[in-house]
Amino acid sequence: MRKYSIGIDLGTTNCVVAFTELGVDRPALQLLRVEQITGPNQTEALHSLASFLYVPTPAENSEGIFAMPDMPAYPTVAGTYARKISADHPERTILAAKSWLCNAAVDRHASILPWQSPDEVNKFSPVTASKFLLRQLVDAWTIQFPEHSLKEQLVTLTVPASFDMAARELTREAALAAGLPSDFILLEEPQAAVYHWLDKAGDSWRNAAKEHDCLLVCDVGGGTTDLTLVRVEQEQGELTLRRIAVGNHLLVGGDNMDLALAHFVAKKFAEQGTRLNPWQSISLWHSCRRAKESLLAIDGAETETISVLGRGSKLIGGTVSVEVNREEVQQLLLDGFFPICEADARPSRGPNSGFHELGLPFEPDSGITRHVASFLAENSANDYRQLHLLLNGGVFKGPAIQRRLNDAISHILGKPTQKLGDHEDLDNAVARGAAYYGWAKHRGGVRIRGGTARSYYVGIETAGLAIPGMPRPLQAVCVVPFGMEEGSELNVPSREIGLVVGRPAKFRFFAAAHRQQDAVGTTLREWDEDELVETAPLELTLPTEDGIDESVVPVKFQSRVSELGVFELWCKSTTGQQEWKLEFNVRDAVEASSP
Amino acid sequence: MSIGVAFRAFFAALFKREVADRIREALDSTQPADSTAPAKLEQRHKPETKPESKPSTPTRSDALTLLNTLQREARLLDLVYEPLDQFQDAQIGAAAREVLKDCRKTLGRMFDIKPLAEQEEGEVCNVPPTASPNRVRLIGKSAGTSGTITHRGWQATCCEVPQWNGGRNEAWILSPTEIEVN
Repeated sequence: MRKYSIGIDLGTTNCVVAFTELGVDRPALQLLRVEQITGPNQTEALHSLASFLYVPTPAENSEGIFAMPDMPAYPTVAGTYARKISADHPERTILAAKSWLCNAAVDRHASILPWQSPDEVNKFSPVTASKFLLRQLVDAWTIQFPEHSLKEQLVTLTVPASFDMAARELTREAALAAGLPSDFILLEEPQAAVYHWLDKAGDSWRNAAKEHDCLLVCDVGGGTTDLTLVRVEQEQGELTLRRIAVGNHLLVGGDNMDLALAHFVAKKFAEQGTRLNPWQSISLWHSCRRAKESLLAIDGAETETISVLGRGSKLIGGTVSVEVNREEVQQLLLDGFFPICEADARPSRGPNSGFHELGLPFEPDSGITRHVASFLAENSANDYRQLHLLLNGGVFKGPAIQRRLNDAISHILGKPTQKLGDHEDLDNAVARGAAYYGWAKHRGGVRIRGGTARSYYVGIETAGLAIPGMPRPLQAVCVVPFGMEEGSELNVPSREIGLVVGRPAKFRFFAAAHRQQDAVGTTLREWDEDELVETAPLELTLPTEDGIDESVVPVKFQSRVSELGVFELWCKSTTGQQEWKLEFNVRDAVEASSP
Repeated sequence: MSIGVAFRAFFAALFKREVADRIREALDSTQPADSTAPAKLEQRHKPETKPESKPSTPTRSDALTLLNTLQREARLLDLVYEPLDQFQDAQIGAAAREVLKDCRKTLGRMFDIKPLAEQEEGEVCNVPPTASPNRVRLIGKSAGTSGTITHRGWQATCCEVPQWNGGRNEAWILSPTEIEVN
């Protein structure tokens, strides 16, 4: 019996599960407690699961110190304890598995995590690591609701809006393997934040936002920043919401700010003659994370003391402290990450420094507002009556950051923006919003319409004369136009393509964030490299049996986006009734993307 | 007065389902359901979110697990057991500030500690006629109808100490020896 709507936020640094009963008139959202290891031989049920996985040593495994009495055995230790020891054992800790899921430069099915760890450490793929996290959430649900299997509930899992089709498909794969129901819904995180606001605002949202207004959702998480634009429209006298644009996946977030602050404070220590050792540096990072919130309060003390505790039992004797000036810190973080910039400011694309060894494509430009300026310009955000700002993510617990972002965006637009909501519960808004969405879908509440956040293209080699040593010129045929709605299908008007039976047919696949003008079937002969981004290729092998007489089958493409947001590309025979589904080939992505 | 309430409750429970449920909840609750404990009631309203308690016999007292957790998350034992004589107040203060912040976070998570009285310190309040000495302590005189709050009191609104799954041999260990391997 379907009784609950469950929202799962699979975060880069934290996972949260919220739920509500479906049969109620007003959803009462609660957070699920997730049983996890908090120390050797110690478990605790907490309201979130840190997205860290520690790979235990064989000795630790045989001693059973990471066994949980109520939960099955896992190959890795997930949660708080893994986060705590991640700094001491980087070679045994998987972090930001989610960011690896959308990193097309690696084989996301290959066992590569923990990244660059020695051979004796068991390794797992980004998909498997994500499965482990989800598995623990599912099991936590099961021990608390044994009579209401998660597989039978209405489950909504959130993904970054900027995840492309391949990354969504991989997330789906991990989720199904972890035990989510086959009809679970993928929802974009910024949309979930909007649903959270809708839940809080109730019917009064129609007073807060008017027709032709836009909502800019700024979701700054621990490691990532996501931008989404939602427009308020009127349809048959009713206000509706439409998601009109989605920004790129930016790998810059709160963790970068903690690190920047830690570097700044370490310099202060050096000035007073204290050199910090590696252990103290980690401890400093921890202190800075905690101090950030009060340092970013609007009115507080002029200076604040940041201390690094002494090691061992010499806690007091070994403690070193330094005074930092609040204004100096605010300047560092606000001007570094949220600089006031002009409307034509663009993020610099210079080479990245420092972070590359981590293997993830971190943003070279940490100025989030410059990314916002570029996003607003690309999406002609000036065509609205009023821009509302909806903030999400733990970073905005610092009031000074909220205010600065508001000021910076007002400056970019040349007119004031309005902040929506009071930003309570910033850590759990996405999970709560996702659970609310399931409830609203079930009960027929307000929904955000949007369709696909990007347009998608299949690369087809042109037939012209072959020139030795040169690849045949490639054309890109639009198979999914921007904004293709959930629950629809489109026949792609193109010439026929011959599929050879028994041999794999491989198609390169591209996504574009800013080609909203392309209709289905539009054929591009040339494009900028920035414009079309190659993702995992699509593949299909026609079975030799199946009653196919010819050796070459002429087909045309048909794209489908299901009610649940799952994209499928099909090849339909033009001479018969048969059709075949193309699958993402994530394994070959590396070869395809490397020059 | 109590008999009157009992009669009303009896008939209300007999004819109204939702009233019966509420009464059962009140009876099941071990905490007194009064206005000074709203959080307790809230806690009772969502029993499903709490993990089932284990029937297995614990191999370690929760008190030891609490100490272990306060040491791991806040280094409380390191602070308490360091000799204080050799340090200036400022040095102690700098260390204590960090430890206290972390202790508060940990205690907050496990016990969600809140003031007992709703009024602020210094406010004049009525003395409840039948409050237990655990709840109200009168100072100055042993009886009266009103007074000034000198301490709001504290209450835990939940008790979620981590679960220990280790053996008896290790139950008394509060913090491991740390060895940096060369």
